[in-house]
Amino acid sequence: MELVRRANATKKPEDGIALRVAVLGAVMTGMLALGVEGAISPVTVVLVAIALPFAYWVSWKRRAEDNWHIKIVLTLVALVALVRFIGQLSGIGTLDEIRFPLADLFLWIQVIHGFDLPQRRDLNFSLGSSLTLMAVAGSVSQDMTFALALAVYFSFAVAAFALMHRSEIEEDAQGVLVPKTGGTPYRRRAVPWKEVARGAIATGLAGVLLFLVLPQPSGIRSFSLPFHVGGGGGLFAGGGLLSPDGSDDPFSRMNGSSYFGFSEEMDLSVRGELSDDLVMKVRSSAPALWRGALFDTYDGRSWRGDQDEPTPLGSGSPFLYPPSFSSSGPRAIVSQTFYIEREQANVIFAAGQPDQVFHDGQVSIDDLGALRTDATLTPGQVYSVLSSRGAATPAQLHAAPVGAVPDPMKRYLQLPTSLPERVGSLARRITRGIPDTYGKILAIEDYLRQNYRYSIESPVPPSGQDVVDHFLFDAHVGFCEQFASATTVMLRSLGIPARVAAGYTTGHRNPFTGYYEVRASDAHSWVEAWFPSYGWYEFDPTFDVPPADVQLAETVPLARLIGFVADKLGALLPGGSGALLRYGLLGALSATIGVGLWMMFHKSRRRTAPAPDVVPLTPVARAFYRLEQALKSAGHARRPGETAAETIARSARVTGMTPVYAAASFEAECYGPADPAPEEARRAVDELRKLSEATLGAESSPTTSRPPA
Amino acid sequence: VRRPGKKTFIVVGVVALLVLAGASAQAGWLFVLAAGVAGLVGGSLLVPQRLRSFSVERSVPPGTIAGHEVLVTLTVRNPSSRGLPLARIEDRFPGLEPASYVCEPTPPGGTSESRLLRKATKRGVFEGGEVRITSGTPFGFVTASRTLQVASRLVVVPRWVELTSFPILEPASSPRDVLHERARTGAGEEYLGVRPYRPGDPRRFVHWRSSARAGSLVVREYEEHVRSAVSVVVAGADFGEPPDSAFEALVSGAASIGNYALATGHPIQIVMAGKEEVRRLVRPGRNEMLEWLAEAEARDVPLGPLVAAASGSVGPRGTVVVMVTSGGRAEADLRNALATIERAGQRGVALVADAQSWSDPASASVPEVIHDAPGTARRSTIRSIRKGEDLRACLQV
Repeated sequence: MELVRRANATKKPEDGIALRVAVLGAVMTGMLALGVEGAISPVTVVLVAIALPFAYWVSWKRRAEDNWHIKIVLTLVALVALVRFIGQLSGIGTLDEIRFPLADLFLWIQVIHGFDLPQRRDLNFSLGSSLTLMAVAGSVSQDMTFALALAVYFSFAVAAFALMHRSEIEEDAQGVLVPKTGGTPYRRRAVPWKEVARGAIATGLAGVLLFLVLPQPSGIRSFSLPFHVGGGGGLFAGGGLLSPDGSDDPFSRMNGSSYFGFSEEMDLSVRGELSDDLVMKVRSSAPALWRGALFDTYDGRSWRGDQDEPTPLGSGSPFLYPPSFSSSGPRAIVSQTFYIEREQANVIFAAGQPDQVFHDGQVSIDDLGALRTDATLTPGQVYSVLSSRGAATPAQLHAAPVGAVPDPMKRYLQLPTSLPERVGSLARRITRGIPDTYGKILAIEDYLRQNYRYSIESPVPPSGQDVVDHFLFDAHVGFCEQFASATTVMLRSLGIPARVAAGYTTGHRNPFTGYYEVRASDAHSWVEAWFPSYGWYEFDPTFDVPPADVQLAETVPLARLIGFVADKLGALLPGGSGALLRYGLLGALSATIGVGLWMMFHKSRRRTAPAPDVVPLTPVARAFYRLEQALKSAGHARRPGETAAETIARSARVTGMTPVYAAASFEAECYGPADPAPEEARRAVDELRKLSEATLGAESSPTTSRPPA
Repeated sequence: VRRPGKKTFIVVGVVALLVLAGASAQAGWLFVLAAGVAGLVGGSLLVPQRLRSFSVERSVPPGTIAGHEVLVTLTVRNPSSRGLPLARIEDRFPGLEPASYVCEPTPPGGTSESRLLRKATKRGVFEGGEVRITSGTPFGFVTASRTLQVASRLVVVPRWVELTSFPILEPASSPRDVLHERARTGAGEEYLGVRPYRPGDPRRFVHWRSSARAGSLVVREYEEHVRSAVSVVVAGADFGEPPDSAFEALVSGAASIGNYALATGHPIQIVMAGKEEVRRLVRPGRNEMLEWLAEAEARDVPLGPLVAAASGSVGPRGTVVVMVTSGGRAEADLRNALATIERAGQRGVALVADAQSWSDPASASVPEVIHDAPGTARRSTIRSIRKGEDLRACLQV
């Protein structure tokens, strides 16, 4: 038994209450963040919010004990928590979902461990574990409310680290050098606010700088997709394409959050207002165009997709993309999870070719290869897709063979008989002398960009005129559907299989959440062209298609910020100065940071010097020191030559108290061969504290003071 | 020089894990969290430590006795126009037990001070020692340290024991010593007779009746209490770790005998081996003797020259105390040395510190040297002292 006690004995108990409060604050913040993000239940939040402070109180009270019996109980409780965690695993569908029971387990371990935090290293462990809670909460957070949790968490963490450092500095120190200039005694604060504030400012500054330069790669594939499938209960589509807010207004391209392109027919003559409503958030390993629908038949006024009943893909998640639709050649994998914010058409949005779809509900495929669900996508619905996108290099595409189009692809060469001849002539003129398919596509894209303007307010084509013909030869202005249609029609006139895709552009990537925030105004249309040996490749004559492989440097927020500013400013400058502008901005930013650092290091700060005294480090001596100060302020300052025992006795007479341990423990601690027993020391500190308080109380209300015996 | 601590490497590992998790889970907040955690280390680099602005002074009393406590005042001055950070100061003054201080943030132009009782652990004359300042403000992730040499002279004299007697110096310690202690004319109290006045004689010593009878000044003559001279030889290598070592025990013994000799009026001389010469301290005062012994260094040399120097200056009635540590050249010469002392008609006393008991206490055995060892002359005494034994009891046997 003695061996057990000795093994569990606390070597250096941590006395700092402020440090314990700071660590508790950090852990509680992590727990609350988990609760706010829905990773743990509200009942758990309430239970932990009650249990954790109690646990910390117990561990503070018993910090000097060996607590071996508590440790046994805690071990048993920890085993129960572990068994509960293993039980929860049985209900887990994907590896990703382990995060939640794991967070739950970590939380209860925190509570259990909270009962036994006698030393600084134990508190350090708790602080480190709280980071795990924050990480889990951060991994499921989709909005900026987590920023508040982070700010609170780092406030506590900074305070905890500053106090821990102070505790380390004070460990085993025999003396304290305190500032002196005469006058009032030096007051040592329980929380070094200046150090905490300085650390917080420095951490904030360094954190922002590091965040700006820290690459945010997202191409690392985990064993499982990062998603939690959430079902929805939308409008039943009945085999067709159903847009939830479909408008009857023939001139409206957009009504609310529903894009007219997500239907069986896309009328090119309509237009309307674009809403900025957030329609979905996409967590993706790479930026991409989120395709929803495909169109192959052009009649001069509109595009139509497959009108037949779609074919169901298997019976359950994951739904596999049929090999007959699959493209070949080099591919880049993109994993995506879609979080629907506004009701959407019953389509599966996905980047490129959706190889695997994880969706709670039936998924079907039409004849063109576009995926549909059996009901509209509703807010809160979550699904994931593992896609592949064509990753052939430009050289490979240039070298792609040009030959006869196989029969299945011939439907993508369809053109209306009413199409004016001048459209095909223009295509041939643009691509004259270019032998390969890829070169022809680029030439047409360049031609459109150089000679046509993008405007949502493009004129409505006259009745009876081909929309593409009107765009190319009369209006010279159009929106994405017209750019895509013109490209597709010209490619088809050259014998290149092409089709129109409708969906959303990548959206704006929130650098904090990491989600692509897709708004209704991001609805878009682009071109897919077919290459022998490679399959379908995306081309966007309106904007750029995001590259399939993202360079690491492009994931650095600072580079994105500079790129964003350079793009905005570049529009005001003559062409070709974009790169120069980027370097200029980078130089200016570096210079600003450099000057800021220089100023921070060289700024003079003058402070008023505090007063002198020596504050003892040992607990009883420190408590006696406080009693001395209390006596001094009460007008009973310690007399020259008066021993500690005499001072305590005098204080006892003044206050009417009868301290038992104070004098003996003080003398043992300061002059004896061995420190007083922990229990005696604690009682002595308690007695001295009460004496100090009573002395000060006696000073403030003279009627309560008693005359010396 | 700033050095990352163990915590820093842990933080870097945590940051890497967060980035990996962020990349794998495609969670942007994990990158923010990683940047924030890395900011704790980065922030530590941004906060200047300003160790160059620390000016440290140490104030100690001029002297003390080994094992005693002295009040050491450590002062940090900040002559700069910016505040000094929280720091830890390690004072490694060689004569004192090392001490650690917490130095509270010192304001610009301010001074911080601490007074602390510290034990003088080691005999010697110390001119100063290094002070190491370490600061890791604000979080201790990156620490900077600076070592200063701070001058402060301290003489730590050897410990000694107050002897109530030391038999060999007592008049009755040997029958022949009685003769040695016989009085001769001087300033004693016993009246011996009269003699003609010599210039310088005190007037109160003039014996007027005899002067009148003789017609010239005659003065009374008194007995002088003559004490035999004592010479202490200390030699030998050191064993154990000072202050608890074989040589320190001998030096303490020498100081004890010296103090007793001075207190009882015996002229004393101390002889030790210098680097290449024989060092002698002749008829010192108490403080002079203690300070001289403070600088004593252990040297295992042949005893011949030392004993010759000691024996030659104490006269035929003198006593030579030879103190050596066992197991070396000094001990090997001990019997010869004692024989030399006896041949000179002097008393020889040897004190042998048993090196084995200090160097390897577990295997320490009863030393070969024994009291009144056979083979030595009658008047010589050999005593031994072992680790943990009471020096006073040993010397007063």
